[in-house]
Amino acid sequence: MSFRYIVNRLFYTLFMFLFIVSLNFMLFRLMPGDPLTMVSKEISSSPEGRATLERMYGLDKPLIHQYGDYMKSMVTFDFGTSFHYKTPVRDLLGDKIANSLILGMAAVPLGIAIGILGGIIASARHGKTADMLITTSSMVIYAVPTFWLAMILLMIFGVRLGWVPINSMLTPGASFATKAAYLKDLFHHMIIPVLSYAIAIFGSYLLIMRGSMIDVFSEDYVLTARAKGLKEKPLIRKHVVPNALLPISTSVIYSLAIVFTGAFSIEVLFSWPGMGKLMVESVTRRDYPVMQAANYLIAVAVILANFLMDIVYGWLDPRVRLG
Amino acid sequence: MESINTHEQLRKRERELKRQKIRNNLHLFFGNKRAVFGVLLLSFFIIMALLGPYFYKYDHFSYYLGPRVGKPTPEFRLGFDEMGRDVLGTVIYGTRASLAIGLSVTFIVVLIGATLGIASGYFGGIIDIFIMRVTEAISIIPTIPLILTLSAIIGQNFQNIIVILGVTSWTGTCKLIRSQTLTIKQRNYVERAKAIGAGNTYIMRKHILPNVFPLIFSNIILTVQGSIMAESTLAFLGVGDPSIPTWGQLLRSAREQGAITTGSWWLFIPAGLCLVALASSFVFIGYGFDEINNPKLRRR
Repeated sequence: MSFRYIVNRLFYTLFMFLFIVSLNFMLFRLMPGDPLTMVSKEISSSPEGRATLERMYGLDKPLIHQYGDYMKSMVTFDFGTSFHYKTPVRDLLGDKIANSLILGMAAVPLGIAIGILGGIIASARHGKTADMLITTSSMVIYAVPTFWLAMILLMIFGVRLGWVPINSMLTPGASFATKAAYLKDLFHHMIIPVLSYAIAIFGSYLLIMRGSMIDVFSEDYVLTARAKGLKEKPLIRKHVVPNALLPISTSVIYSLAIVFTGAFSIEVLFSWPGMGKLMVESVTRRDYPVMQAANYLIAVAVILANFLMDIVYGWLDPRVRLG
Repeated sequence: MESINTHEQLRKRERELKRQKIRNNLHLFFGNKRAVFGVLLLSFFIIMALLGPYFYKYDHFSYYLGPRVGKPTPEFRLGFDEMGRDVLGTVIYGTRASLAIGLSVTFIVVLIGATLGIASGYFGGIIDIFIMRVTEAISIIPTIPLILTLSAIIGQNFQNIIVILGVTSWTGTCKLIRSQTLTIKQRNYVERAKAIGAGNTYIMRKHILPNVFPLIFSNIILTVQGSIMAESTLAFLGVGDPSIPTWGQLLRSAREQGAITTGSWWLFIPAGLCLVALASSFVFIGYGFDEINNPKLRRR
């Protein structure tokens, strides 16, 4: 891979960083209404109180200074204080990100694996009954909202059968003597959220993988391999799958990079104390420091992932570097 | 084939070819079982949206037609929501809301996507680089956090939700339209139009746009489905307009009322099933069109 390609991507990454992070600054300055009333109605109603609050949040300075302060605080990960919790945003986000990662790192790889495997099977049986069944059912699942699927699973396994707890991450108020007991409780609470999360995402991977496999099947080198007398199984394993994985590799990296942003509807439905739930609550509470910090972290993650995707893609597919 | 020598014959032959192509595509589309099923399912919802309200004799906006979260009765077969509104009314009127959201969001998406995508692909050069860089940057921002932020900033009434969904979901369509514009730009008829002095705007409007459109049709159909689902997810999360009854609002109240534990199925089963059926009808139609445009996807 050429040095020039990497430098080119680096500059582009820097451009995107500035663009998205500035957008994040501007959005919160453009909003109508008065964010300070969210901090404290009593303090902000008196002129002196307002002035104090404005000084505290740096809102009395000219916009360009505010932008400088904003950039400095973002780059140093010092996100200020939450309007609602009155605690440092950094500590708050740390816990929530960890919880979202627990859920996402179990569910997302599972969903991707099911999707890719299903896509391979469906394309190998292209046009046959198995393909019809797999493809149709993943189209339906693709059209099922995640939260509704989770509600149905919860109704069956949580309420009717009583096999699993119906919400939160750990049994409330429980204290755990051993690490094993803690893990057991966590695992018990995780089953349904992880399953519904994985089922909700696998459909789109399956459809992409199937399409990509079918594309590769019509390539000349597959015809050549068949003409050489290669059996169907080794042909799929050695020639078709590796080439078909290429287009899907970027979306896999992207999905893994944004796992920490949380599964919004699942976290809300199961009262899972993760980033998704925090962000949804912050909208209703107008907790701008939390939202701004969360947006910033998401931006940094996706920009890095994007850079990584470009590099990986350039490495896997030499045609990209030349373009 | 007989030789073509007059303008009249040429026109006739062109018309014939066009009709044949349409017949072929219709044949392909209706030969696809899933696509046909999708069309039937969608027609059902369109009829329900258009005619349903005329057969519905209650005022579904009125509160306390029955008890809060009341059980189904012979008169109100789907029970009541937490405000005592008839759930059947919300299911019927929710069809209108969902279709309205899907269509208007898609309209915004196509408007932005086609304008930027065609301009980018047609002009190329610095305009292309600028538009595509910005599109790229916006497209990598995860949608839900962006939507949540925008809704916190501009507010959550029905129109705002539509605008927010529109301005956050055009990037994919824009990229697709750009790449199709690049191929169509190379075609002879565009060259010919340029040679006889047609202006850029004229070419983009009369030649590029109509030829790009069929190629992005499945993307447009899937955009309708995506926005219907996005709206219901937002409503479920509590980011929506509570004054307009939608399926998503019903599902939110099911969550807030703990309908799953209390077994109040009427709060989430009918609305959820309608949502799944409507969304999958679009998915089936969308993938049906995909198979028309991409011969590789057809049966080997």
